[in-house]
Formats: sequence, structure tokens, C-alpha cells
Amino acid sequence: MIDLVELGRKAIEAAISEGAEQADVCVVLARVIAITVERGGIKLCDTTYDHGIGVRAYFKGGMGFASSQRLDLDSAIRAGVNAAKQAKQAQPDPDFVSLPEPKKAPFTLELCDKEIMEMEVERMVELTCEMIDAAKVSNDIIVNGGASCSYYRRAIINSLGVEVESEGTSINFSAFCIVKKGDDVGSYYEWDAGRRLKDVDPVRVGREAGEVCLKFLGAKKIETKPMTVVFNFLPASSIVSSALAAANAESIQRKRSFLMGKLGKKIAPEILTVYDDGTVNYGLRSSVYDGEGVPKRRICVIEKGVLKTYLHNSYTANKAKVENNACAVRGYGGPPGIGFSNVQISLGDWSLDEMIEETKEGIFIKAGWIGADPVTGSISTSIDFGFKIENGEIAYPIKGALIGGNILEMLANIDAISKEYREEPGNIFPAIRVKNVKIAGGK
Amino acid sequence: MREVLDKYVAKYRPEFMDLRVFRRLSFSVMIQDGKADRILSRELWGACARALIDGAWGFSAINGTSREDFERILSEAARMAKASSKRLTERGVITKIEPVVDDVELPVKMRPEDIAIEDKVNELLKIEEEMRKYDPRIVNTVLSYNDSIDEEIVVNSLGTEVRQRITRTRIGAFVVTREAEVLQRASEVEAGTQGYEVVKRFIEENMHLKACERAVKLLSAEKPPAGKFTVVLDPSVVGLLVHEAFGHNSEADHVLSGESILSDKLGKEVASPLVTIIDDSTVEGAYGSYKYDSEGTPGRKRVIVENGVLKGFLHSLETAAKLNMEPNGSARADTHLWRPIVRMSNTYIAPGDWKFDEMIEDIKEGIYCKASRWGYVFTEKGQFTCNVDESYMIRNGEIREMLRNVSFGGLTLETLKRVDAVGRDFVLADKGICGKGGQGMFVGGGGPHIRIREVVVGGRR
Repeated sequence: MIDLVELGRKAIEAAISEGAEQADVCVVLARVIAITVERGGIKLCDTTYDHGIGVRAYFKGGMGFASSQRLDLDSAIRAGVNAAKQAKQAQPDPDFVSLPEPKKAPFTLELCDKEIMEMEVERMVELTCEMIDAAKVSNDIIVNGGASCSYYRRAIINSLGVEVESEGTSINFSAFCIVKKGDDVGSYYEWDAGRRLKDVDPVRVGREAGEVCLKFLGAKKIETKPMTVVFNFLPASSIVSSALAAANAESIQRKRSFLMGKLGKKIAPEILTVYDDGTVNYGLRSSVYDGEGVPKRRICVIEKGVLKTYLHNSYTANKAKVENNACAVRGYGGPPGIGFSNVQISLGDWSLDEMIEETKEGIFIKAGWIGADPVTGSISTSIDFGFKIENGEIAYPIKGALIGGNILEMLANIDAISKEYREEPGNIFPAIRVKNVKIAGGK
Repeated sequence: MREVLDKYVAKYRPEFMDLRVFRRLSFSVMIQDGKADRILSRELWGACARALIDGAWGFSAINGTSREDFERILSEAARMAKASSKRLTERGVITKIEPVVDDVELPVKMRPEDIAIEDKVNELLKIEEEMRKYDPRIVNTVLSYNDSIDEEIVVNSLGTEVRQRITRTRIGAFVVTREAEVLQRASEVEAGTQGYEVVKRFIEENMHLKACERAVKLLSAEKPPAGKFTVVLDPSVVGLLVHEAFGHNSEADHVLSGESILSDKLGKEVASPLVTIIDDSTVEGAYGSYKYDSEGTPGRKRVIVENGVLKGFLHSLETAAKLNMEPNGSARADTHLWRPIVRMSNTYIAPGDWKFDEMIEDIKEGIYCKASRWGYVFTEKGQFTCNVDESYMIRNGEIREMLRNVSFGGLTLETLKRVDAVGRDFVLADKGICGKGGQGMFVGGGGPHIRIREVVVGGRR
């Protein structure tokens, strides 16, 4: 077994002897088994062995980065040397202060499932077939989709003494179901993801995708006008995630985020509180340390509608002279960026049924990604999986309609959050209702 | 590679087996707010194998190229094929094309690796400075430069042995402007299967300043109206539309998986008679060009729609066999870690005979969309969305006020049948990375200006 930490140390030694003032390394080793489903059968099984090393070096604040997909000593040393050479060619950045000092996390996390570590492709095929069979709620349903599981080891090492190593597993199943009646097409997708086998339910995934695709037959065009929109769990999470993405402190410092100047200000009604929590056992995006080796934490990003913090890595936190809240994300192929981990949205006191019942005319967006432009906050996209609500009831599926607006307006117009939610390990996504949203229809 | 492959072909007696080695060396510089403070180099290097045994497919990939690595992935691919055979609804097949043996490099004028990092940085710093000084309302500027050299070797059991080297260069300018509470952004990109000449052209054409000009003008642009409008699209938006609305539906893997609205439309009218759609991987220097695909099949010019009638699909060796059509070299893979899937190359609408002025002169109220940004499609329903950087209202035959952040969408077949004017100009203006099934791929697109009636525009007023 390769000693990832030792390999990382060698790369750092090489970078420092080449003249870098500081350096850090990310080494990753992963095995993935994946299955592709087409028309209810197994189209392909594959297995990949992906590994690599990425070295970041600093010289007077200028950054050099070099990566390789080889985990031998020569490649590690070469990456270290190249990163240092490039750092010296980069221009100095006086805003760079230092990479993080080592700090031991006050907690541990369970992120690995032995069943997935020892998973064989034959077992994955069996589970995938269970999903396919469940999706066939009617004979004419076309079932596409797939499944995958992976096991990885990762080490983060820096020249100040940070040395952290972790391992984890993940598994997911997805089904995309299509039904055709002449030119009329209904489709729907569902997925499940987790770090443990027991956290995913392939049968539920198949059944849900199969049953709901039938409900999208007979879609109609609608009129253009402002309406109330009920965002189901995943579309609601996409809007909140867009806000979290814009809370990236680098975007704020570079003056390219619609959340610039909003710290401490109200950006949503009191019913909305949002946490970014990387410390949940078996959470999908949990880790003990972030991509720079700093202990993760639970961050309250929006508290009762007020933006409480931006998401930082060591560079942005030092530049802003605030505490680093450990949001560096990283693979071996590039320098660390900033990102959120598990998203937990506060639950409301409405049932999803009540939210629809109390909507005289509106749209229920069942699925799909409704995201905002990270700079302007503008939202302008199609409603791909939506239903018309008439007199408090789901009336019919819609087609050819677009939703337009600005995320800050939409957040401000949230008037209800559901008590039901979709739980993806570590994440909590309730449904959200927004008043007065501009809908463009093709009728 | 041949020797190892032959050994495993003898061992497993597959219908088909291939071994592919991929290496990419890339270099990037990022200049932000006046500083070239990030210089990056990356190496991707590994191999993958596919096996088709008793009608079942297996694939395996590894970041390594030793004989031991080859042996490991070839036997893993065979094992994966056996696992696939447990639930086979349709046997995999492959077109047995004439084997190709070749060693090629796409032509490059100025090799990026021959230009010193210092020279690249200095040239880029100069134009980034011009961007920052363009207007005081500019609050953030990013100039990103990237060059890469890909080398791909494909060896298969049909006898094909192809080595291909492709250099790509890309430069992009991104600008953010701010006035009071309003933030706007704009970008310009130049890219191709070319060398450093891409940067020279970007500078010559002042594309960095075009991004600045647009980002400043957008500050005082109006919110778009919502509803149905006649739209006129510029070549970059035509490239985006034809890629999203039509191109993905013409990928034969979507046709076979039931995810295309075109599966039963071959030989039928699918667009206005004014519309001819081509996908061409042989355009010299274009971002989506190549000589051989990742199965070692030669790429070519493919007519998808001719005068409104569907003529063909884009194929891999497998989709061509299943549909009993000729392979046309459209199977491409994003590095060695992914299997080849059917992809577009450079997709465009062929020019017609309208002048731009004629197109807009009889529009009472419409929208002129320029500068593509992003798009996507759900192929099974043929429902697409396109988002553009810069748009204008057209009133009584004249281009009027500027609009910000316009998206338009609709149903593919309905929309393409409403094309009622196709311009005589032509530019392959759209250059980007297309995502499909988790894989990214270099593509190009474009065409002339076109006009479409009754398109749904998503607006805010």
C-alpha cells in the first residue's frame, strides 16, 4: 500500500529545496466501480483506478501549482520542483499571509463503510437490477441511469507541519425514466447517494422515477404572468445552494458576487436559517479536515434571514483578517477552491400539501436545477419538471415555460417552508414557496 | 500495446477489444485584478481498455501506462463484461471498419511550448491592464490563458493503430462592472485546435475590450420582457441553439436509449426547409476538430439536416452497427478515465441568402440575441434552454434598447420549424466545453444570423 503522507513529504521537500517559501500537497487514491443502465439492461460495467498528486507552492505570495497522475517518487518530486519554479515566475501577492498551521480537530468522523470497501461488481449489478425492476411500474417505461461506488484515501500535507490523512466511501443509484405515447413524452429522474450501503435504497429510486414519469404525460403550455411557485425539495435546495456559492469569500473579495456588502444584512425572511455542516457522521460532503488540513466545523451562514458569514479558506480569511471557517475544497488536479459541504435548511411549519392547497394559481416545480448567476444573482431558466397549480390542486404538467427573476428578490419573497424534507446524508432540504415569480409561458 | 492487446484477445476471444493511452500536458496562467499570481501545470496520463464479450461491454481505466497496467485493465475489462452479461437486454455489437494505421498531428503555427512563460505573462499582463483601465465601473477582471497538448494512441482488435497529437489554446476575458447596487458581467473567449496564434488574434481583434464594453453597457440595460417574441440570433447563439436544441438529439446513443425525439424521424421534415445542419470535425483550427475520434475512426463532415429533412445521426462504432448505418467518427472520450461516447464536433447551420437588415426590417416587436453564454437540453422531450450575454429589443424594424440576461427556450421541433430567415453571413463563433454523462468535451458551433417566430423568452417584466 502506498504511503500517501510520505510521498507528499517528498514533494514538499522538493518544492522547498527549489526555493518555495511554503508548499502544500494533496494526494488522492481512488477506486470506482460504475454501472451504466440503458433501456432496462446493463449497458456497461467499469472500474477505474484514479490517483494523483497536486503540489501548490508559494514564493512571495505568488502561487505555482503542478499535478501528476503518477504516484511514484520521481513524479512527486518533479511536481514539487515545477510548482516551486512556477511560484517564482508568478507575480508576488502581498495579500498572501501563510498556509494554515497544524491544528488537531476536536472530533472524529465515520466516513467509511466496510461493505462498500469490499464491494464487488456483481453485487452492484444485483442492486442495480433491483432498481430497474422497481422502475418498471408499467411495461412501456424506458429505464436508463446508473450506479457507482467508490473508495478513496486522501492526504493533505503542508510545509508548516499539517499532515492529515482520511479515507471514505460513497455509493449512488440513479434512474431516468421515459414513457412515450406517440409524440407525448413523460420523463423523470431520481437518485440516492450515501457513504454507506444502508443509506441508499435502489428500489425507492426506481419506483419513484417510474411512477412520476407517467405523471408528466399530457404536458400543456401555460400563459405568461407572475405566479406563486412552490419549489419542491431539490429545486429549493438549488436556490439556497446558489446563495451559498455566492457567499464564497474569494468572489466577495474580488467584487464579483451579488452578496457583496450583504454581511449582517437581511437577505431573506426570518423563517430561513441555513447551515453548512461538514461535521456530520456519514454526511455526503463531510470531512474532518478541509482541503488545506483545517478542522471542519458547523457554520451558520444565514440566521433568521440574516447573512452571518462568508465561506473562507486560509487565503481569504487572512486577507479579511477573520477566522478561517475551513471551506477549502480540493482534489489532486487543481489548487484548492472554496465550497460548501452539507447544506441544512431550517424546517417550517407548513405541510407540502398545505403549501399547494393555499395556492390559488401557481407552479409546483417538482425537480430540476433552478440556479442563479453567481455574479448578478439573475435567474432565468426553463421549468423542466413542473406542474400547474389551480385552485389549490395539482392540475397538469407544464411544458415550454421559463422562470425569471433575481435570487435576492426570490429569497425575500419566500413565504412558507415545509416541515417535510428530503434527507440526503448530512443534508436537509425542505420545500419552499415563493410569491410573485415571473413565469413566461408559450401559450 | 499491440502485443499485450493480442495476448488478451487470444485469451478471451472477444468480439472486440481496444486499448487506449492518453496523455495531456497543460499549462495555465490566471491574471486577476492586475496580478499574474497563479501559474499552473498539469499532467494527465494513463490508459484504458474496452472489451465486448458475448454481447456485453466492460471498461477499465488506470493512471498508468506500464505493461503491468495494460494487463490489469485488459483483464478487468473482460471481468466487467462478464458482470454486464447478467442483465443484457440488447447485445452489444460493433461495426467492423477497415483498420486504420496512422500517426498524425493537427497543424500548429506558433507552438505554445516554444514561448517562454515570461513572454506569455508579459503579453497577458499588458492586455489585462487595458481591461482595468477601460472604465472606472469595472470592479473585477480575470484573464485566463490555457494551452494543452493531447496525445492519444488507439489500438484495437480490428487492426487499427492510430496516434494523434492535438494542441489547443484558449484565452478568455471575464469582466465584472458595478454601479450602485447593480452588478453585471461579460466574457469573451477565443480558442482553437491551434497554438499561440489564438492569443495574437484575440489581441488583434480587441476581444478583451469587447467584453469590457459589453459589461459596462449592461449596467444601464433593461430587464427583459417575458412572453413570446420573434427573435433574431447572431452566429454564436445559433451555434448554441443548434448544439443544444438539435445536436444532442442527433447523437445516436440518445436515439438508441430512447432519449431522442428524432428516433423515428429519419427522412422526415424536422425543421424549416431553410435549415441545413452540419457537424464537421475537419474544420482546420476549430475548437471541436480532430482527425480521428477516440475509437480511431476518421472524423468527417456529416450532414444531419438538409433543407429541413433529417438525413443522419452522429455515430460511434456501436451505434452505427445497431442502426445499420455508416460510422462517422463521432465517439470521443474525456481523457483515459472515460469511455468514448457520441459527441458533436463543430456544429452549425449552413448559410442562406438573407441580409441582416432584411431580417429585422419587418419585425414589429422582437429581440436580437447576441453572445451566447450557456444552454442545456432534455433530449427525450426536446425541451431546451439558451442563455445569452447581450440582447436588444427590436421595434418597428430597428434595433433599440439593450436587455440584460435573456434566456429563451422551447421545444426543438416546434422551434426549428419556425425559422423563417437564414442569413448569408457565417462565423463559427461558439467555442466551449460541452458536458454529457459526466464528460467534458471541446466543441465549436455557429452559422449565419437566423430569425425564428414565436419563441418563449424568460423575462422579468
